[in-house]
Amino acid sequence: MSDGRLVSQGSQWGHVAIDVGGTLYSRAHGGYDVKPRSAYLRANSFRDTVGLVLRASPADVSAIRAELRRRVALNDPYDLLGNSCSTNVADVLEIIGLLAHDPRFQWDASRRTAVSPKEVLLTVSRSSRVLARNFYPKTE
Amino acid sequence: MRSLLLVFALGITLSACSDAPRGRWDVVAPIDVYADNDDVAPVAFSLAPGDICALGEQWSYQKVFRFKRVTCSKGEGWILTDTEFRYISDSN
Repeated sequence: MSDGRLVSQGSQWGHVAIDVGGTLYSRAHGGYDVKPRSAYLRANSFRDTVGLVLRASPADVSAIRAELRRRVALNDPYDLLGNSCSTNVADVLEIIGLLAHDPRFQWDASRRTAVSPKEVLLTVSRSSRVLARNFYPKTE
Repeated sequence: MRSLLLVFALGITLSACSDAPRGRWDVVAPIDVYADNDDVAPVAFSLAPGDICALGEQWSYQKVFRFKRVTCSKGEGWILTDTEFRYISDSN
């Protein structure tokens, strides 16, 4: 979860990406960006980032990776409410049974909508799957 | 006097919007240059140590990353970080 930036093209509430085995999957406006973790963090060194390390079985990892690759290939249009950086991360984490959004604040109970980056961070932080919390401070 | 002030204000505004790459910068580490200031823009070309470029001063903040404009002998594009460049001089 990276901090928000007021003057930006859509990162006012921050940004969420998901790291699977050292590869960052990050939903942007124009599609998915997929980068090695080191390159992603270096390019985001202008803002603070928090990383949660999660306990996951090999089957969990495979399921998440497969779903992310499917979404990368599908390349559905970005939608702030239903297909944002946060909803994508929440969707794939919930495939393995990890609650990643606050169900009390759903505009539409039938869909996972309007999830915010900080909501993902706060909700996932409470999971018993969290093994470590890494902080990547901005360096400039 | 009034029109002079208007011209002056317009000049200030235009110069604030302009971010043409300037100066002479030496590439000290490999870096990819993207085709556009877009989070999912493809890599246009790569720079290697020893390449010379001119750099913009402003960052363009997008959803995921920020970008800075560069002009090099290999072409023009956008970079994600500028720590791979060493300042040489003001002249291009």
